[in-house]
Amino acid sequence: MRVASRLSSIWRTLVRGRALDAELARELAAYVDELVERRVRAGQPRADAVRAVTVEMGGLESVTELVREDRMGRVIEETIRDVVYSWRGLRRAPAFTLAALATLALGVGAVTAIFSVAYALLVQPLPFRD
Amino acid sequence: MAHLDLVKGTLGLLILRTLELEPRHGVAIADRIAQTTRGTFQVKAGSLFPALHRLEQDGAIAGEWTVVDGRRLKTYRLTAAGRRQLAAATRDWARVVEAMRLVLEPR
Repeated sequence: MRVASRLSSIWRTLVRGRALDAELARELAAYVDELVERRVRAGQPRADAVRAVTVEMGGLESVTELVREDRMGRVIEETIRDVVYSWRGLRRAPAFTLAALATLALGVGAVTAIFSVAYALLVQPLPFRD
Repeated sequence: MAHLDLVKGTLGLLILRTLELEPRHGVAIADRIAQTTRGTFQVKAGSLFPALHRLEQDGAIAGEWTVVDGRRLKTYRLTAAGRRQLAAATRDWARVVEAMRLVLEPR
């Protein structure tokens, strides 16, 4: 279901962002390790190998940034696309849109009015000195 | 060494195709692409990981942590949705290639 998968991907990105970053860090570490091992096995001293791999990949930080930017960018893009699509849908069905808006307005108005009365009667302290 | 400047989606398609036959982890995917393209496409971390995570976010591939030779690696496999995406992207690509061929044909 597209809605469910979209919501879950937004959830994953926003809420689990830090956990995803930790997972990415582990993945990148494993990547670096493997490339370093290859160079070491080919005879390069470990320190040089680590430096060479880090330089070649542009630095762990920058790769992490690229993935993070990409992830955030997609969420924003998709959300904007959904909003635009919904807006278009609502414009094409004016009767439904008006009915929904009226219902919301009445609901909010009614709750606000009742709350105001209740607050004035029950919660607000009386204007007399005690 | 050619750069994957062509189309952003190209790397996605390459990765999907690479994972079609068996699941692989990051390094293995880059290796396989370099091997299959005879060194033309050397995919670096800065391109590989954003692409992998984009595909994972789309649900085209699924990543799982597995143990290989005593190391913990994140292995990716193609999902059913990924297979459909691969088929569609392959068709699109064939169309693009054919169009380019027609344009660039010797006059």
